[in-house]
Amino acid sequence: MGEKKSKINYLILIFIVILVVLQVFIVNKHSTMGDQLTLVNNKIMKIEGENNQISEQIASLSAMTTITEKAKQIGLVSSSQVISLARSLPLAANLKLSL
Amino acid sequence: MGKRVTVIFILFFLLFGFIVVKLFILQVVSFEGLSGLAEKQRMASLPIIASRGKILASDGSPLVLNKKTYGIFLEPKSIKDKDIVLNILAKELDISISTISSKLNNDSLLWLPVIHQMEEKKKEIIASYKLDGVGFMDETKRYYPEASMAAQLLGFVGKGVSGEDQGYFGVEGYYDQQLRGRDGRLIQELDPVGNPILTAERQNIPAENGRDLKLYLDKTIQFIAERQLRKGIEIYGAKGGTVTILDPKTGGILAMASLPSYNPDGFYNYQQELYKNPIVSSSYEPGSTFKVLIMGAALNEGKIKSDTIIDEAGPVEIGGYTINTWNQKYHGRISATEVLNYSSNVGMVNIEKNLDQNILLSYIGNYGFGNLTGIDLQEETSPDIRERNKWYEIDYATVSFGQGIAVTPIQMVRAVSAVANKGKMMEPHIVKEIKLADGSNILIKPKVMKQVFKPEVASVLTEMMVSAVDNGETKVIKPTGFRIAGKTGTAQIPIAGHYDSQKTITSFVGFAPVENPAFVMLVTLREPTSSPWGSETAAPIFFAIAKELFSYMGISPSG
Repeated sequence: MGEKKSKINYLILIFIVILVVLQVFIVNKHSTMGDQLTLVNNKIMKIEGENNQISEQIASLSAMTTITEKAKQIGLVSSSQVISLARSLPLAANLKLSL
Repeated sequence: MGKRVTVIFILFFLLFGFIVVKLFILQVVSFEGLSGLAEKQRMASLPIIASRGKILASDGSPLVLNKKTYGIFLEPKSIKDKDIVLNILAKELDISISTISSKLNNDSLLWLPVIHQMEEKKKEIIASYKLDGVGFMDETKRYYPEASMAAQLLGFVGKGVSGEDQGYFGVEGYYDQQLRGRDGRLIQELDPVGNPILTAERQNIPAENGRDLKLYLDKTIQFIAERQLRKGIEIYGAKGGTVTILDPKTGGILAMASLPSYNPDGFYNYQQELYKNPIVSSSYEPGSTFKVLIMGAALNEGKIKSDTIIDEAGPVEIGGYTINTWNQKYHGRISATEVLNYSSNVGMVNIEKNLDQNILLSYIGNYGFGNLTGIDLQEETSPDIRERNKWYEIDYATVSFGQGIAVTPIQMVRAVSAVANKGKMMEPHIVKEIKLADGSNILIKPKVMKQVFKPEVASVLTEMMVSAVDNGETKVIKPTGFRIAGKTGTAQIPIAGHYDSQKTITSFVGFAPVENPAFVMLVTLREPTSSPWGSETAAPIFFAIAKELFSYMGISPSG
């Protein structure tokens, strides 16, 4: 009985030592992973910067003056003649009908 | 022997005691101060800059964005060769060497800013030189993809008293707190190389970016308005002008153009007088456009109908003054509708006589004159309306044809929009939605300010305005096939107690299509030189814009 108890204590001690060693190992590893976080942050900033640049380019290319110039270059002209197939009644006529 | 051991023992004891006392002083007595110092050494506090909110047009396309820029700074103690650094910076930044060198000579400076808001391409060029002692800091700058479009409506971003970004004028000024956001902070422990220690203390207060604003403004309508206004100012030789277009059902501003204007990217290169939006901050006498509102008051009070006969036999004498028609023509007995067709001052004075003076003043108040409209632009002002006891008979007479009263363009167009909206006057608004960081939106609901007329009165007044366009001075220039309600205006400019005989402010206010108005528009021109009349200057600009809007909005001719 005493021997069994002693073996259990011995195993618990080994288990504790393993945990302590593991903790030291993991903490040590994580403590030095800061450079990877820095790399990831730099990558994020770079991609955000590229996104902003693309947004600017899209905004610039879709600006009214840009589109107007492009339309002129390809020969588009503004329509001066309007042909309508639908006609609505004058306001006074609408009033008469509602009375 | 025993004595020596005792002496050595005492010495060791004293030494040990000294160490204990010292440790006690360091770890207990000086604990707070030393731990603070240690924390300061190993902890880094980095600001997380919040980005300013974007301003978007009604279709979601950007009017104002943020652009990444850079500032250059120098660390004088780290510079190895000052001459090389100075020459390269002077060449690339196009600034004089003396500007930088004078500051570099100050040995006490650890850090020296050289330039702000530099473009990325320039930064990359300078970075490629790999100069010691030259560093870059991230900055942002407002970017306007539409250049100077709607500049006075948007405003600009300058610096506040503490050097922070601050909006001035227009939307940037009014919504500065919403657009600004709130900076965050990252407090973390760094290793000797400057990398964060992941298992150490770390506190992250995230930044709250500024809120984006979505406007009622339609870029295409704004573009059309600015182009036609620019063309009109050139053709009619005017000093300036404005175009205001709003949706009568919501009060949403579809376009707001005023010239001369400025470019918000480089606002500091323009005169400060140009920063204020004249549509909300400058006043003018509305002239004959005001006749519509007095006519509306008389109709609403039941004093006249559209076919009530009004005397226009000749000039009218009031309080020692003579009131004539604008063209010295008199038509005898005419209907109220014809008073608007002929834009008869004499006819309006006779209509005004039917109205009780207190009621007339109350309508002027109901229309919102003398008070701010509540539009969400920073620099709105309102000219005062004289107190009741300062109104004389001649003042009631002249106000009936829009002289002797000062209004802002936004007040005028809002009042007329009540005619287009069944008598309901809406609060004008620039911003439609505020977009929050979490993706949700705050909708700014349209607000009814007042029911100024009965709906049936608004319909009758609309028909009278259609008749004014079809049968008045603009009958030859109005677009065919469309029913447009409108009124011309020509007002002399008051200078030093009298009216200038040559200079006028011309205007045209109207809405279309009358069956279901999609827009209300006011065009004003300041001191046109080709002609002093609204029918010959402001009206053609109105119709030119209206024609393009019919096509853009898919509005069919109605006969």
